[in-house]
Amino acid sequence: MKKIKHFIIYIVLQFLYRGLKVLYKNDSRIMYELDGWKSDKTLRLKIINGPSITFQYTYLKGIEKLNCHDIDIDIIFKNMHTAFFVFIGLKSVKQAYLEHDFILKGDIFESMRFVRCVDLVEIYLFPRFMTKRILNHHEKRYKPMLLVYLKAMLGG
Amino acid sequence: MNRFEFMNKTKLVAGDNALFQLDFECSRYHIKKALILTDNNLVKLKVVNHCLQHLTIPYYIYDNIPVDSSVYTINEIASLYEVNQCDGIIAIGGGSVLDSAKGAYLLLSQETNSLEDIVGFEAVFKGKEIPFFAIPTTSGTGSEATSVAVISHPDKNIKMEIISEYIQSDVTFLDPLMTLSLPLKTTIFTAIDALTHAIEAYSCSGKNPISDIYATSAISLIIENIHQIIEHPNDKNIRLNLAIASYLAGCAFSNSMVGIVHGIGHALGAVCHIPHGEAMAMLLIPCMKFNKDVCIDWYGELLLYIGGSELYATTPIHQRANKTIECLETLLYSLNMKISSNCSLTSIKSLKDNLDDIIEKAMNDGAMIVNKKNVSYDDVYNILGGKYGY
Repeated sequence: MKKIKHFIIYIVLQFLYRGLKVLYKNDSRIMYELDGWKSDKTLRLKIINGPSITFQYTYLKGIEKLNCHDIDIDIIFKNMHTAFFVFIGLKSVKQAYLEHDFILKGDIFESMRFVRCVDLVEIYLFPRFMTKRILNHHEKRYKPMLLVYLKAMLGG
Repeated sequence: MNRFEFMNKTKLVAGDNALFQLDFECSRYHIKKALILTDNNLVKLKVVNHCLQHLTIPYYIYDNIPVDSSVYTINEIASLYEVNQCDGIIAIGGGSVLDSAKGAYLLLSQETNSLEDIVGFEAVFKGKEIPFFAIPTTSGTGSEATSVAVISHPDKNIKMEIISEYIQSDVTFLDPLMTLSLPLKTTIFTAIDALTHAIEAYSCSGKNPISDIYATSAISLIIENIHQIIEHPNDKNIRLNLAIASYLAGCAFSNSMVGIVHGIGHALGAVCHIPHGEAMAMLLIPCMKFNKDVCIDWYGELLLYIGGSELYATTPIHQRANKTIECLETLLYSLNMKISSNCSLTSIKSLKDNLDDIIEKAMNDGAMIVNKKNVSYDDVYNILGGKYGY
């Protein structure tokens, strides 16, 4: 079971990264949030004893995958099981924060932009009936979900 | 029920002559030389002497803590601790002193030189044991009970937030002597800050049954004592009750977090330099009106503590939330009148010119995501623009 969860989280992490990459160019809200950092940022999403992904935001290139140890915002989930609920869309990042599912190393103020971006990516990755349950607000999709999935699968 | 965590490791010594116990607690924690952290004003007003007279162990005093705690101050404190071979920290002061003490404590305990290594949410593991005592001189921040410290980085023009269970003080002393010299206006606004902590703790997404108990107890104590303190500013019992309320509210919000009032309030403080308590007084009512549709039940429950049992019993359930807001509005209005304060959003001259900056900062405050109702950029604009009054 743990291996299956590991695999599913790995796949969702890839879609989250690619979704963010695609939507940075296709959804002005995400561009507004990330450009608001006004400097390059390296982020890592990691699950203890599980998969992780590191990517970088730069004003010129948008979102790019990276292998780097100099991380600005490091979100580390304490265990695979609670992380699983977040990555399959059964729990919001906000709820995970409230339930102490992860630790965050780095600037909390700057991380808020990323949290809002994840909420926005989730409305493209998950169907409405799922996001309705985990998000306390409704956001419109600026592009068809299928198009975003297609672009994400083709590598953004 | 959603999972929650509750942390309160602090031993509380509260009441008349609570400071008599200071020396004994130092020996209990094996402190042989204490680093005392405070600010210039408290030394000048001789408030610090109330503590020092009960200490028999040697100590070194650092009284250069500014109004906004900064990384430089904290680095200086940490090096003084080492140079003077201290083995315990006693912080005497308001929010800034206590936050500086927490920052220095964490630097020393984690044995690091850079505060930037330890900023974040639960970003550090347990470090070296260093006894840390807190003696608050205001009754508002609740910092003596919280796991939060906010420290500014002047060069980078940013505020760094540390949330860690390890920065809660080991022992807190609430002695009414320590707040007796607090000016009345400051006393009232710090009490409003504590009241806001409790109301937000009770109505934000992170609320839990334990934090609710702390929050409602704090609200009752503040409501019972806030008017009385204006009539009897030198009454030690009233001072003590407000200090306990502040501590209780601190325990509550440290475990449940706060919400939109603090999110916008921090931004108003950072951009327009509005004192925190006054910002709370300006924002509490508009933000409660904004939140009302989502928090209607919780605001309704608070009527019991804010309006009293009779009013609660005679108010129909569906009107209780409105009544709670009405009671608070009346309370804030009468307090403003009594202390001759004109505290409202419309009184901020620089508000309109800095609106974008305030909204941006408010939206990036960690308190915003735990507000029960989702908050957008437009919502903050509407609140500051007066859509919800005040």
